Parts: sequence; structure tokens; C-alpha cells
Amino acid sequence: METTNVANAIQLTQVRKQYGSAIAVQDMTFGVRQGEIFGIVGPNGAGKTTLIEMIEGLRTPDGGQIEVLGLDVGKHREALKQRYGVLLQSTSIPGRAKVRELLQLFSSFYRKTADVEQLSRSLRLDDKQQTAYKSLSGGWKQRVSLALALINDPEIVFLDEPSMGLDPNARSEMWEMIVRMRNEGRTIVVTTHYMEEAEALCDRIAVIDKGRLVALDTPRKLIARLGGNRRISFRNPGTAAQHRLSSLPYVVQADWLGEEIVLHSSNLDQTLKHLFRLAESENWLVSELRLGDATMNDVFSQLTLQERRQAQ
Amino acid sequence: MNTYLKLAAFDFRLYLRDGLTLFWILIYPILMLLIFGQIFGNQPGAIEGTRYIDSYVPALCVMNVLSVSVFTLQINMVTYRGSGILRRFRVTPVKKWNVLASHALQGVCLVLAGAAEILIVSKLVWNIDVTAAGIAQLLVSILFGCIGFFSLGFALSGLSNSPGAASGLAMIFFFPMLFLSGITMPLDIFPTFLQHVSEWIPMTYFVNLAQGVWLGGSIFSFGLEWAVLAGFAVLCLALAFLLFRWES
Repeated sequence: METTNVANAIQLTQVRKQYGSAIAVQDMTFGVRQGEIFGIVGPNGAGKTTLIEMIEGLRTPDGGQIEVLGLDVGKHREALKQRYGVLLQSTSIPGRAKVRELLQLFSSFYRKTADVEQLSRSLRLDDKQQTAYKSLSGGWKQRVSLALALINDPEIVFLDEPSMGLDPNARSEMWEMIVRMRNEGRTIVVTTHYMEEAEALCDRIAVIDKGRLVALDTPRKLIARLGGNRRISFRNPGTAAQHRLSSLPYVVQADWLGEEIVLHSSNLDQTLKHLFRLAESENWLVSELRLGDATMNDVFSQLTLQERRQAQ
Repeated sequence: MNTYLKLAAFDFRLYLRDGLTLFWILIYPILMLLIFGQIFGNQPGAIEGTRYIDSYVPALCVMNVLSVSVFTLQINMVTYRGSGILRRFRVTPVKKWNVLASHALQGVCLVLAGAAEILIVSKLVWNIDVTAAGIAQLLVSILFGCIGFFSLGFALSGLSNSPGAASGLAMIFFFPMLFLSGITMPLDIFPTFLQHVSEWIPMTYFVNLAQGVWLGGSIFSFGLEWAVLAGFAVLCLALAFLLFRWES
């Protein structure tokens, strides 16, 4: 692997992008360290795609600077394309193409390539070489996509929703492969909708909402930011008023998730005591009660909720 | 260059795997040849001492360029882009011209195969005069015309996202050019105003050139035709690059 003398594999400084009067990305400053798995999470329309495409050099920012592997993206787009690999969502390959043809085609694009035989073996694609892409299952299609992303032995790999639509087995295999890529010294940038994925996989996570960076830290620290909060969830009785639940002692946040109500509490014992009292006085039952630690999901909903409140 | 050749081979293999479209592109000109040739083939042609079939052979080769470009190349490009592969190529070192030139090479192969077919069948059925010089001149003019007309097909492919819409566009360009350029019938039998319309259709100049050089004219004596085709090529090539899209 080629080494560069910069601390960060990717550095964004004050990056801004707008489409007409709509601001897609603003004031974005952060760095991705060499050799880490860096997650970018955010709701749909948060600006993730625009952000990634600017880093890849496909879109030009309206302001700010982006450096990848120490090079200005705007000036070295073609050189950088030789040094990164991309996994897009699985629909982007003609179904009639065979695995071997795809690997040979993509390896012809690059000056430096990985050993195709070895790459196939390591992704267990060696006996799928003559199979048409369309007759592979979701998990195998993702393996092919991953092989294409790694065919130039890239220093940075961008993964767009790598486990979208995969069954749990295929998903955990995908995670193993991603971790292996990191252990080989590559820098991984992954966008995902699954908070579980972000939490399990990423060394650091950038939370993006409405084109802004709202938080950037390790999953553990992001969760700890909730103040060591615990999570109380129970079945929505249908009669409980939201404001009375959210004003229970030590409740920092109350979410209505369809059939389920989730409270975040900084003092579990006290909140529980008052929750049961409230239920009794209002004559409903706390059922299907579950207690747990806060997750990335909670961090995410709280952070994006805060943004929304501030915006109002 | 390696990228380009590998891409061209890849695209061509994918194309051949879809046997039905290939069948049509190879069958259609022969059907036209047999039908119109059977009806008019032995009638006297526009030039003294020639038959209708002698003018029809180069005209059909030109028609083949048009159908390959607006049907095959345009619709293929729309389908190809629809598959998402161009979106994937965009994050690799593949360039626009690699993609366009790969499909153009495919088009050239089809045009040459079509021309060979037309010449062989006409030789066998009508025993037309075939000379090496005639073939060489015809090929040069046809390949030159491919630049502009293929580019037209690629430019049109940027305008639609569904194969259905693309074939609608193809019809709009194909039939007027087919009938108003003198491919099926000589322009002199047209009413005057339609003759004026045909003067504004680049295809007319392409047909004139191909027929002229095939019927023994010197390749250097068609200045107007070469100029119109060259201008058309520059315009369409620019449009093809301008309207090229990596995503549907």
C-alpha cells in the first residue's frame, strides 16, 4: 500500500454546495483518518449522496476545499479515481454480464490492479466466474460489487449502503469483509441507513442532517453523549398523553414509534417509579416493558430531533 | 486504449447475447432489398446504362447506417444507461469517449456486416457490377457518414430514459429521412416542394454521395456532399458529448 504523508486520508474544509437556492451541504468540515472505517449517517435528503459525490470528484463544491490523499480533488480527479474504489447499490451492473467478464473489464480500467485470481478467491468468487450477474443472489451480487471496488487495490473504498437488502447472514459476512479491508490498511467510508450497522462497524460516525454535520465521534462516545441514559420501552396504551410522559422526572426524551413508546431517562429507577404511578392514576397498564442501554438509533433520533427543533 | 478495447469487447458480447435485436438489424435490409429489388430492380436507373438496383444497393447501405444509429445505438445506449452501469463507470477512470466509441465500433461492425450482406445478395440475384474501386469508395463514404449519424443516435439517447420513448424518437427521425432522401425512390418523381424539403435533410447528401461514388463517380467530385456531411458530423458529435449522461 502506498503511504502518504498526510494525517487524514480525506479532509473537508468549509465545504458548501447548493442547487439553485436549496442548500444541499453547508459548512462541512471534518477529516477521515487513514485506515479507519468512517460512517456517514443521516436521514434521506440529508446531503449524504452530494457529500460523497463531491469527495469522489463527481460534483464540484460551491465553496470550501476537499483534499483526498493529500491532493485537491478538483485538480486531481482522474489521478484519484485510480486510487479509490466504490461500491454502489447492486442494481448497477448489466444482468447478462458474467462475473469473470466484469472482473476483467474493470481491471482493464486501472494502471495498478489487484491480483484478480487472488481477489476472487478471497471473496470466494472463484467458482462463480462463469455465472451471469443476474442469476446470483443478493449476497453474491454484493461480493461481485465488492470485488469490483477492490480491483485496483484502492487506498480508499467508498461503500454506499453495503448491506441494503441482504439477509442477516450475508450482512454479517459483509461486515467481516469490510473489517478485513480496513485491516489491510485501507480507509473505508460507508454510508448507511442502519444504525445497527454504523454502531457495529464504524470507528467513527458523522451524523448529517439537512446538509450540516451535527455530530462526529466514535459510536460509544456518541451514545455516552446521551448522558449515560437508559432506554425504557413499552407498548403504547393509546391513552397516555405525550406531554405527561415526557415531563416525568429524569426523562430527557420521549419518542412515539408506532406501537411502541420509548423514553430515555438519566435515572432509570426514579423514572420507572413515576411511570408506574402515572399509569395507575390514568388507569392504563405498562405492558411489554423493556429496559436497555441507549443505541446509535437513539443518538440519531435525538440529534436529528434537536436539529428540527432548532430550525423551528 | 486497453480500457477502450476491453470495453468494446464487453459491450459487443452483451449485445450479441441479446440475439433478437441482432436478427432484426441483419434481416431488415435484406427484406427491403428483396421486396423493392423484385419490384423495380431491373427498371432503368437515373443514370444512363444503369438499373434501379445499381442505385438501390448504395442507398440501402446508407439506410442501414441510419437504422443502426437511431434504432440500435440510440436504444442500446438508453438501456445500457438504464442498467446503471454508466453510473458505476463514472467512478472509474472510464471516459465519455470510451463509452461512445465502444458503441460506435459496435455500430461500424453492424454497418459493415449489413453492407456485405447487401452486396452479396445483389450480386447473386441481380448480378450487379462490383469493382474493388467501387467497394472502396462506397466504404469510405459510408464510414464517413457514420460519424455524423451515429452521433445523432447518441445525442438522441440523451433525451429519453426509456427504450419506448427512444424508439418513438427513432421513428420521428427514421421515416422522414428514409422517404425524403431518395433512398426508396428517386427524388425527381417528388413534387417540387418536397424536393426543396429534401435539400434540408443531411441524409439526402449522404445518399447522393454513396450513390455517386458507387456508380463510378470520383470520390473527389462531391464537394457539397462532403461539406454537408462534415458539418453535420461536427454538430452531432458536439451534441452527443453535450447530451451524454452517466445516469438516467
